[in-house]
Amino acid sequence: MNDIEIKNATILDGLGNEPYKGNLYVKNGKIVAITHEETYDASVSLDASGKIVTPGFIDLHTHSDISFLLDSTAQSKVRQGVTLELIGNCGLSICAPLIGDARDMFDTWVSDHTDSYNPTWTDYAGYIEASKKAKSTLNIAFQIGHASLRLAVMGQDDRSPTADELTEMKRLAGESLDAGALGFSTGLFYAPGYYARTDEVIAIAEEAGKRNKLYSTHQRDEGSRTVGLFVSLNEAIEIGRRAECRVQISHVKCASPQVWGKAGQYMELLEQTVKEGVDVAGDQYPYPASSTFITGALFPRWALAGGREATLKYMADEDDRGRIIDEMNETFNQGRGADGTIIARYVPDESLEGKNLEEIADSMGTTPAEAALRIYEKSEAMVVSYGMTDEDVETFAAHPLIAVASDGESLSTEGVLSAGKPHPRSYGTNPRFLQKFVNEKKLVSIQEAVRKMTSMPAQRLGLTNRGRLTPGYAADIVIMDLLNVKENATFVNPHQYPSGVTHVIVNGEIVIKDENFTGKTSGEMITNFNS
Amino acid sequence: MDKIEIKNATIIDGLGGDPYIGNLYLNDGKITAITHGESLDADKSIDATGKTVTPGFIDLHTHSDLSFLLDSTAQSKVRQGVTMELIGNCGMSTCAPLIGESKELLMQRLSTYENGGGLTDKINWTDYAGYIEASRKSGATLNVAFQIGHATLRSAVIGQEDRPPTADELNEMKRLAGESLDAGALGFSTGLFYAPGYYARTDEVIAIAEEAGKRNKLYSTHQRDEGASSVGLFVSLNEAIEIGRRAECKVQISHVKCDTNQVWGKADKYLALLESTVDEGLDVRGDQYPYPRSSTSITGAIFPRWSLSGGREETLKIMANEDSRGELIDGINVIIDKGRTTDGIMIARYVPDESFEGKNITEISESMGTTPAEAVLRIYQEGEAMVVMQSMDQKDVDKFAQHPLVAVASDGSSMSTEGVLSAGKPHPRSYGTNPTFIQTFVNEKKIVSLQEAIRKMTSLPASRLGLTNRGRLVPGYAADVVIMQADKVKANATFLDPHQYPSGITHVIVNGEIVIKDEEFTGKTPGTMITDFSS
Repeated sequence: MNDIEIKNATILDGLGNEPYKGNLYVKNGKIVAITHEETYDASVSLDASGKIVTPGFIDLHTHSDISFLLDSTAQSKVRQGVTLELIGNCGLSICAPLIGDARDMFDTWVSDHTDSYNPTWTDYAGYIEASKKAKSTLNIAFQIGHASLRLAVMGQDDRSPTADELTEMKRLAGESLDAGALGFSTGLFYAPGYYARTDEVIAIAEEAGKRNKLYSTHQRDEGSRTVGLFVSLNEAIEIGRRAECRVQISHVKCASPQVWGKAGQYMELLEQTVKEGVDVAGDQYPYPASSTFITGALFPRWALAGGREATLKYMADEDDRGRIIDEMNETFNQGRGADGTIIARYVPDESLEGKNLEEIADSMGTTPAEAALRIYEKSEAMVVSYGMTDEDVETFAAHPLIAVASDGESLSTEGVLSAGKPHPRSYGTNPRFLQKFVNEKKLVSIQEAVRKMTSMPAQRLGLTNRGRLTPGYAADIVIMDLLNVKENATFVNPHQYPSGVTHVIVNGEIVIKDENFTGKTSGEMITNFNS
Repeated sequence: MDKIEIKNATIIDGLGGDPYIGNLYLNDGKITAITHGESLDADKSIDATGKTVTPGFIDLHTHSDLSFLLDSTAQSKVRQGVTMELIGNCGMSTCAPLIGESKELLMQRLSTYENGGGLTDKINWTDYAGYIEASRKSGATLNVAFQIGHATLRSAVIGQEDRPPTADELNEMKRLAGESLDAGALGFSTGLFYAPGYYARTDEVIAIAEEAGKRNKLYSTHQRDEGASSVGLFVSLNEAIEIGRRAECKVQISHVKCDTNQVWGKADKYLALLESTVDEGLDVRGDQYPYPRSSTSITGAIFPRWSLSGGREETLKIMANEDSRGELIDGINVIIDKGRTTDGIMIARYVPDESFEGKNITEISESMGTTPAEAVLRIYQEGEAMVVMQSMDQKDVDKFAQHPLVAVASDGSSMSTEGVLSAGKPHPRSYGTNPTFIQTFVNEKKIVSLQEAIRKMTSLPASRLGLTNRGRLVPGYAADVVIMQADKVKANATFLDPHQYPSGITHVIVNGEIVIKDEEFTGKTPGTMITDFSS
């Protein structure tokens, strides 16, 4: 007797091949059979007539590090068909290791959602163990973050590490990878990642390379803020070449008017690099707006050295405050406009959420830069920024080297994870991609779209048991009514689950059934390549 | 039909995916289930522990047009794992239509077999539908897909004349092409290198290829020049691409190569042009046999094309006249000077004197006490000869083998070690193409992964033909299946001793019937005629 039968399915194997008709059988967490017409007994039978059946989606770029510790039923990802999230991105492995300033970072992040959470661990092994106990609606894979290592070892200092500090960061990275992290991430755009020179990153990335694990990077510049888009992309490639590891360019974009229209050139460089034999690919969320902290979005990096207290001190000094405002105005002038910068989450005053900086400045009777400082004076804030063109977004979406990933986190429409006006990508990335690029614009075929969400991200991680509908593989499965797939989350009203994704199965358990949550938290911790 | 179980197999899906372990179930000519751990009912069980199971190979470039009519048990292909051959290549759909000179050419060809291969009286069809029906009746060890050939159309309508067709002649060729495609041919082929294909200008080919394009069928071409014998390799490749662009059809460049030392080392440039063409949106691919030597007729190899206009009788007349014989010898010497050296041309099949088979032209000319060009004429005087030539550089062969746009195909025909198809010293590609590819490029040189090699033999050729039911191991697809001991696969055929079956290919299943079992032929001929995309 099988656990689950999925009948009359149009099967997409996840590898980009033509769909075919068949029945799929699941038992003990695995796909045990695919048949053409023959049927066998099963305790649950799902009729998939007229629907497509695909492998569960693997979201390579998420920030759900804390999500399931706070709420194991977090559903905004699994409702999209996501059955595996890779966390610890952009250099931020918020939950481990918890040493020095890295612990402060953890507290800041948690304070966005809840008043207190007391971690029982300090190292990556402890975090993975705690995650396993907490349970989750989907599978989790881990990365060790460069910013977290830097915070742990040298705080927010704007300098190179000493030899001992570098050795300690390498040791912590190795320990975390050996504990089960499948990648090493950087966020060279942000402080303190921005303070690192390339050779520091290469030295640590070698720890990933020798374990055949992934290097993911939020590149140093996605526009023309500092070194420029192409210098930055070449830096990422050079790190992969010299550290001998696979490179994943996170959320590829052309982020300011100076680089709009450069997506074709960007992809040419990636293609040439792949031909040269360096294993590099990218991922993308299908929206023209990004989201990050107000500091990351607008503040000059020198003003962030030393952490929040130091920044508040700069702001208290008249000259320094003037310099910050000048540089922030330059950032506005470079295309990251105040009217395109919207407050997404702000605990001290939720009434600001959903408003743009120009509106807020007007109501304060001051300039947008001054308004930004007054906001940060009380607390860090999350913002959504309009900075990309649809043309570039579509060029990336259509390219085979670019996977689909959210840059979001598992949230829920109820409970501790339901606050604020987060970027809708946490709720709508995969449905939106299918709705916009497959169904409406017909820019990407359904089998290619599914490949970008399944076997491609699985290969980036080196997973040998996921991302493909094949007997013997893990039973992570999505059933969709493709033509009716719809993202419902918007920037104004983001806490909305999508529709059309009717069933989601994680490790052989039905987590979403007829678009409803079954209460199952069957996610596993993916700590090795055959997990 | 027995329900068959293939247990504990390492399954390669044919699409290039990583291998996985499972059990495969076949019934009623189809793959009915693939399982992991679970066992289902079956009449026969084959233990594939330690073996690789793949879709049956699809050989896009073969000349088996006559093979199964002569001997339905022809095995040289199915023993390699080939479960489908695409025939009618290089412009030669030898068996249809049979009108005018095309019928004469077939009869000449049959005359090289004892008693005409027993076929002379049986050829009672003239059109493609009749040929397909006759093929169905005679049976085959594997599936056969068809193409209508341009040289055959020209022979039927214009003969061997070196001139463009009149408007009426072109219309008639188009009509015959359309009729043949509607009867079930899945492609239109040209051999612009040979006479009479060489006499056609590009616009003539485009006009006929449009018949394939509007039916979404394939255009296959032995390009006009694979080296530096006439227009040159790259002009010729661009011609093939232009035909696809303007006739709006898929293009298959047959047996891609850099032929003669004039173009050795150009494989990268060749592939770069294919890539940029694909990027541009044209559907063009190639195929390749994995040998540095080629094979063709002695006239095709070394005779200037003007001397072939009008057919064999005309050529013999040219040879009988002292002046024109001199011109012909000069023409042959020009071709020799362009890299087609005669010590690299070996006689493969020569009915008038089998003692020549295996010898090269230089050796033969010395034993005759004359020049190589003169020896060539004396050979042809007695009868057409097949030759094998050293024409490629191994480095180019390796580059084509590694490239994802190039499929594996034999350019051979189904033969047998016994009977009417066992004569001569044919190019060993008829016996060893697929095993040689796996042995050389996968196992020894390790420059192609096994799953990629299998993709080049299965889903890639299936997609070229537009087939929706073959080339992939997936429930619901046709049960064309190969079981092999991948690391022990060995081609045994050599140039000197070509009639040798390969080893390591343990089982071959065609439409759910076991044709090869433990490397032995079961006597089954379950091949079907593939006459539409979902056959």
